[in-house]
Amino acid sequence: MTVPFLRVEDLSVSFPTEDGVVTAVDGVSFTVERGKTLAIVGESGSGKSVTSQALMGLVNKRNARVEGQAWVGDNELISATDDELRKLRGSVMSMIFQDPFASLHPFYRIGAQLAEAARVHRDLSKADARQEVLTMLGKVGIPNPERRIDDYPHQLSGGMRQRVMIAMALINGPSLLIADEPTTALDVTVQAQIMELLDELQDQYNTAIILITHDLGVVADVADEVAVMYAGRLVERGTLEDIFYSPQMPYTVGLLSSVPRLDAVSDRLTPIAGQPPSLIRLPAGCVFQPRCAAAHLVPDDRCAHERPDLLSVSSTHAVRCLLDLEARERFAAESLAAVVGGTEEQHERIPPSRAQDLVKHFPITKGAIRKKTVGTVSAVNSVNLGVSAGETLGLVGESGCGKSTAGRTLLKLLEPTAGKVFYDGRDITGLSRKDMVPLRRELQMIFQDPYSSLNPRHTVGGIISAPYEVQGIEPVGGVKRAVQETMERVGLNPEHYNRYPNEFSGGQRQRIGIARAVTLRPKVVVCDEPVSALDVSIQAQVINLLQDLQDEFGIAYIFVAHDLSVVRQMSHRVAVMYLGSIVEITDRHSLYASPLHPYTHALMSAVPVPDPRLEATRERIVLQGDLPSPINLPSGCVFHTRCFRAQEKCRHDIPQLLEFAPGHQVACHFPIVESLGHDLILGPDSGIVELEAPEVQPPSEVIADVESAGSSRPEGIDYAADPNFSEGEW
Amino acid sequence: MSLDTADASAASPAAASTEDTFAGISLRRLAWRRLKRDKGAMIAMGVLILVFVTALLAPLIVSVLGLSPYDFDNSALDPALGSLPAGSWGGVSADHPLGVEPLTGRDLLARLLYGARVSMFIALTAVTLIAIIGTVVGIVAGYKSGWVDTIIGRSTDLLLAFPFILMLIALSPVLTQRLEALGLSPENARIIYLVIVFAFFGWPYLARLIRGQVLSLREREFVEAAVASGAPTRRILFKEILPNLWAPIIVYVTISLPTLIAAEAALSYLGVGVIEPTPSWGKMLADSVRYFAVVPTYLFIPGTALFVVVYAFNVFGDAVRDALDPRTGRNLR
Repeated sequence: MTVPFLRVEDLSVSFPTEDGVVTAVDGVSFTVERGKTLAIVGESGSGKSVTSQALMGLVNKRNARVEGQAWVGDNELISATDDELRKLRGSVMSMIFQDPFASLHPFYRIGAQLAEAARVHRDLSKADARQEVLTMLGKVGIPNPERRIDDYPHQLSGGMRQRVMIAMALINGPSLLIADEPTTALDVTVQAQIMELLDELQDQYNTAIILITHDLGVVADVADEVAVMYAGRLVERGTLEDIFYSPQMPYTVGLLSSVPRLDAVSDRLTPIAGQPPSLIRLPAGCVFQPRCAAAHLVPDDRCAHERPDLLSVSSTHAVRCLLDLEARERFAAESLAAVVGGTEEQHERIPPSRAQDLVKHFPITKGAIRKKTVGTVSAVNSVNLGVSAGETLGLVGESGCGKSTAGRTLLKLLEPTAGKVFYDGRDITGLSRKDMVPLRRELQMIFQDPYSSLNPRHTVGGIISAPYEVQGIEPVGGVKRAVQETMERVGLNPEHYNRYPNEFSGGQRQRIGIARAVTLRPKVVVCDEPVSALDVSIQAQVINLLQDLQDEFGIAYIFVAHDLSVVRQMSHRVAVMYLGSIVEITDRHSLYASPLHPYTHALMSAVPVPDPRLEATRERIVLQGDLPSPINLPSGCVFHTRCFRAQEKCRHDIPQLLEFAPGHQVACHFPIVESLGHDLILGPDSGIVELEAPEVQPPSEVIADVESAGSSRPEGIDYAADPNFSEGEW
Repeated sequence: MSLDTADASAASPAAASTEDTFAGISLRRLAWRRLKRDKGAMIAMGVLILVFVTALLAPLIVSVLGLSPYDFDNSALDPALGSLPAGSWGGVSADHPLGVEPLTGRDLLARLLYGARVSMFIALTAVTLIAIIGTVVGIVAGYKSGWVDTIIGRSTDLLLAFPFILMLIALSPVLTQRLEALGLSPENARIIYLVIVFAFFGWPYLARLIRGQVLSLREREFVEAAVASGAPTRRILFKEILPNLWAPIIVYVTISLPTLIAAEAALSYLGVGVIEPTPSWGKMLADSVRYFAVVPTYLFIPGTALFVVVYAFNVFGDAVRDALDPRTGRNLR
């Protein structure tokens, strides 16, 4: 048997703190072969990043204890001196970090930074290094490397910067690449580009990759082997198939069943209860026991007292669990069976909140006093949308598409540049801030970042009771009681009334934000990426909470998110936005079954699905390039610069949002009407709206067909042009 | 490092639940509790209280000790040395525990205590005014961008560009006369004049600092949440944003207090500060420098007092800032 390229044996990292020793990594062992990818999966605090930092020698040994061994080829990393490590870093092993905005030096040109990386390890002349940098930039897919090489990092988009980071990591042809959440900060279409690039480069360089991620979809897409970490321990390890199709550890099972999925809709997600444990006060037995749904299946409460070992199930698969094999498999099968298709309810269509031809431009000004307008960011262009009571409208798109701006303008947190905003049949566009105050109790907002959305200097009680104070409402039984009832309703302990936000975890903080938004029983709530900052197991808890609150109080949600899977789970109808315009809007089943707009297609195919077998068969449409700047919108169809179906017409004519099937509108000259006959991702499924599409024809003829169909359409279907549509249709 | 906020916050509920005694107490009581645990802060606070009390009770203490800050005592001087204090250590004796002033023979302990009154009054009043004006102007400028910010920004620039010391000296006679015309005694007029001028030229620095902080706080989502609940601007400025500014305000105040005491000293030295016979630490310092070669102890008396008070203010200010921050101490870190 050959020795694996990377061997990690019994790696432990602990940090002594004032309150006790934090064991961030505890006895982790794994191996990776060249050309293979090991994915380390876990939530924040699980020790996955510390593991990789320990391997790279980036853990400060002055305040941490690192034990164990790690071999890369013949080099032992843990006992290596700083000098030895410095020689290895960047040449034999290198690392890609999560945030491409923070990891490039803003003062140096990217070419200089890359050349520096090459010349540190190799004796290259300046000219040779530059040549090499150019080649490398080409390899990572930077267009016009000759022009880009002298750019500064801020001149590049996020995706481009991550490509530069990858180029820097690979410039010396390392045999081991550690990628720490390399695509988390990127949009999904860019993520698809980067993952594809990593895959290509891995083949080319025969690199061993350790991919650290929380996204099971990404894992299913690229990993060969998977290690699941929880509270610093490796709790399960196996091949991709082992982990996804016969998960053994209840934690892995919980993760798989709590992820909202693009390829399935269940009425309710099954979250993992509770919070990850404190690394200082770990449970005495199995670290997962307090949250484990299967712990009661083990007799004598053994899980609470006994630390399980990592035991092999097969030659490739090992798990740390006290359940016997049969019980584990039964538990897994039952839990995962719950992830099945759900039902669709019809909602009455009386939209309390509605936007008509909404336009929001942000002027770019110059000069301190005169404020001359030198340009305009067109964040939202002529958007029509509405949401009914008890309904969720998903607003989905990549960052910079204007979805958050649209949501905020609908609440009049931003003044629309043009167009109208209605609430409860009333035009609220012109209302002053003062006149809006009474309406604010019915229009609320839930924010993305649970850290920035709560004032750190106010108690939880103060934060949730602020709306009462501002509105001057004195509920029966007093504010405190009302607030505590709401706290209880959203799953917070009412006794924590006087605590400060910093004492709560991200998920609990988001519950505080939700409590603040719903405590006055609003009619419409705009949720701006409410779960994107949360860990997977917590995400599901919050999504369920939002759905329960909607059922109970009939709240209309406008759910702004970039994650198509979360949107699918939450929404009744979905609007897809691109560069400030809605390109497609319909109910979620039609959208996910038969998206008409090429952008929707690309977006959906870019989302990796946590199912390796499905992932292997999926065709991915990788969009080229980045989102164009909203300062200079492309002419004609805004999507034509990246569209794989773009024709001459798209460059000149702006497509209108037209109804192609009942309730299904799309703004495209050449929508994808070839009927797939089944869900794009799911496969054949019941209850899916079939399009009355023509017989399958070669694409060019289909296009001609649609064009003629479009021109012969009766006037009334053109929503934007029809003056009668505005009331009631939404 | 991943063991930062995410981990700390994930772990905090467990940590918090074991410290249930902390639940349900206000920020002030919590801050006090934390302060009490900080030994350095408590010592500093003790020193400051002592200084304040002695300054307040200076007339009483002085009369009990049978001293006077104003009375000349030729018997304590040695005419042979050119009216320098008689005896060693600057004329330390049972009558004059800290010695006497050269040339006049006035008691230094009495002058030190009376001087504390003047110096502390000037510095504290000025710094309070600076804190109030600077904070309010800074918050408004930072939150209300646009023309309000532009006007405030320009006027602070203007004030910062002023040759402050020169102006002070030039304006001194006119303004003190105006103040005297309002019915103040000449000594008090000088003191009030110093306070006004310090405050007038001091607030722009703090306003700038605060404005910068507000510019970033303004973008935080909790401010938007307040707008979304219909909160008026006043509430957003003073209930949402202000509590997050205590740290820079306290730091600035503790840094400027010693600067102000020193500035008072410098001005007294230049002759536009406190006038005779009123003692102040600054004037004593300025005075003592002239005799440093012959009576070195004279310099050390006001010098040590100034050092101790300034140091105590810094230690105490730091500790208060830490104690007021809900993010420190209570959890993992």
